[in-house]
Amino acid sequence: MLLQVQRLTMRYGSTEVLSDVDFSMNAGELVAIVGPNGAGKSTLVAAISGEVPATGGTVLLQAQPVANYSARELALRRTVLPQSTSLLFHFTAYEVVHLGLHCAREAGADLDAPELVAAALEQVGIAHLRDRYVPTLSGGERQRVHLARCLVQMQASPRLGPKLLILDEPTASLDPAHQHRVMAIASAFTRRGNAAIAVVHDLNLAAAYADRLVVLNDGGVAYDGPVAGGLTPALLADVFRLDADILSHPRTGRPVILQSGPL
Amino acid sequence: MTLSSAMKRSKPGYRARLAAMAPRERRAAAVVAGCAALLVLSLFLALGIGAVSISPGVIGRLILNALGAEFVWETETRDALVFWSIRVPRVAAGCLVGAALALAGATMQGIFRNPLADPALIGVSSGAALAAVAVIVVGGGMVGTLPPEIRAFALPVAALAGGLTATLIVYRLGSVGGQIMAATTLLAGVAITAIAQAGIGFLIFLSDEQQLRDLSFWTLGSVAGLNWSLLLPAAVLMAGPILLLPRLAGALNAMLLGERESFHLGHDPQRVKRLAIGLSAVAVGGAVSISGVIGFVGLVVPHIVRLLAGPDHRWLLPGTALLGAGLFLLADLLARMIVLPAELPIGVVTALVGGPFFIWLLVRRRDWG
Repeated sequence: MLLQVQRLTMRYGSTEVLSDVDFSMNAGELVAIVGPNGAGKSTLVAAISGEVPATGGTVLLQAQPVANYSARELALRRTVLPQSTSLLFHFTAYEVVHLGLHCAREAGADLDAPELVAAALEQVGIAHLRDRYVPTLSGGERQRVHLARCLVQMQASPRLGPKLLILDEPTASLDPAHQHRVMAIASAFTRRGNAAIAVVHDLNLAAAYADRLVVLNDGGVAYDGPVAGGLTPALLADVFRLDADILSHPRTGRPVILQSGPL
Repeated sequence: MTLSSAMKRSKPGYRARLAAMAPRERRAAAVVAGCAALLVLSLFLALGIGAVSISPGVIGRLILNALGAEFVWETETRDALVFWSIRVPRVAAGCLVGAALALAGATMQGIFRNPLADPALIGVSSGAALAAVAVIVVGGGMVGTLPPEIRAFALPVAALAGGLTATLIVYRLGSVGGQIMAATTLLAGVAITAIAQAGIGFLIFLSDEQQLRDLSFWTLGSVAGLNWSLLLPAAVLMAGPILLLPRLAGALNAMLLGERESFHLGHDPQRVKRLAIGLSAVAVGGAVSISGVIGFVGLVVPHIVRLLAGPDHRWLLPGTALLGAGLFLLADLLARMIVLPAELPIGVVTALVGGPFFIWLLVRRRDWG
């Protein structure tokens, strides 16, 4: 088991954001986390990444509590693509992606940095932006620079078991084609024996790429299972207050959510 | 080409690697080398020019003689005396103060992700100056009764204590639940600076003629009249951070993306912040204790290096330390030459040169869009 979240409770002051959340995932899986605003998705991601210590319960990464890992040990095993990153200084795309090599270098890996960075930039389709200043790029281009940084961090690190790619609303600033591209890259990452967990707002995007769906509502897990079984009109009404029909995609057979409006 | 194939492929030759390298990296290395060359040039100028001028050849001989080569060249006793007891302490102080202020500025800008951060902004300089001014004005009678050897230390020690106190207050105000909030820290620094300046203003109002003259040293800065015994304690304080801060380069680079991101990349942002702020405070405290408050070095020098070499701290920090030392020596040279036989406070020179330069930087930056 790559990741096990056991009875996780997160509290900020007197506000309980997550209570007794349980779920786990294996290598090879792409799990989409969906839920309405304020359901605790970002908090769950922060707890899994080791950024915020759990108030109660544990998060196990490769059977070890994340709290027991040092920052560097965690960085060799998981990477996080944040919702948005503010960078005021004039780093080039190359330089930002290069930052992803830090933990692998510290771990003593012998790396060919220019090749690794070039390959990661090409993988997210922005090889031509290598020497452009990141603050001058569009939101979508910036997001892909950071995705390349995450990929390089995982690909350059010595293999200490399956790796975890954590995406926190990765597609918020992307146009539709690039949203698909990011999810496809995450999916390809999982097929190489790794896993990815993505907080997604677009239910159709989640349905198109995820192997499994975790629906969060009010700080708890409302559904955890295959995509097809989870997305029902009843659940959408219950959790999202959404009036919607579920169709089957004529070509892929995956569920397609047809939204009629709020309830 | 996939990532894994890039991993497996054998390393390309040196030329190919150089071609694949970001062009800025080569340029950055050249900029740092240029900063080092400027420092060497400034060293010879600052050591040679003055009431007694000493040629580069003589400087070389004096240094070799001190290393035990007296039998090779003769040097004049007067030159040796001026060189070792007046020029060298002043130049050493200039190098260290310039490097310390510039490096602290670059570090603060990285930690606070704010290109306008400066040691003066987090209150270190003003706190140190306030403590020194208080000793001159209020503690004057008390200090006067102390033996002269201890009296010489009273002001630097007070300045250092004041600087560290200000930093600790700002640090406490800026941390919430063990986390240092960059924006809050900066604002706390602005508030502490304002309070310290008000205190200095009040003490100036209370002071008499002679005290006013002493005060101008602390508010405008100078490295004149330094001897070895005054310099050594401060030199130790500054040398530590100057050597240690560049080791934080990688962590500061990651910090520019944000604290969370730096943690995701494998750094410990809390530890990095504690180290960076603590080392900067010690460096600036040491600098202010022998030179008073000297503005613009911490702001302008990192900007020049960043413009030429880019924001990568692995090049920025060494370049900043070298250029800070070199430019400080040149500014000090100007301060001693403009109004011969008197001397201008160096803070006046750095502000006069640094202010317009900074405006030029801002205008240029606007052109970049």
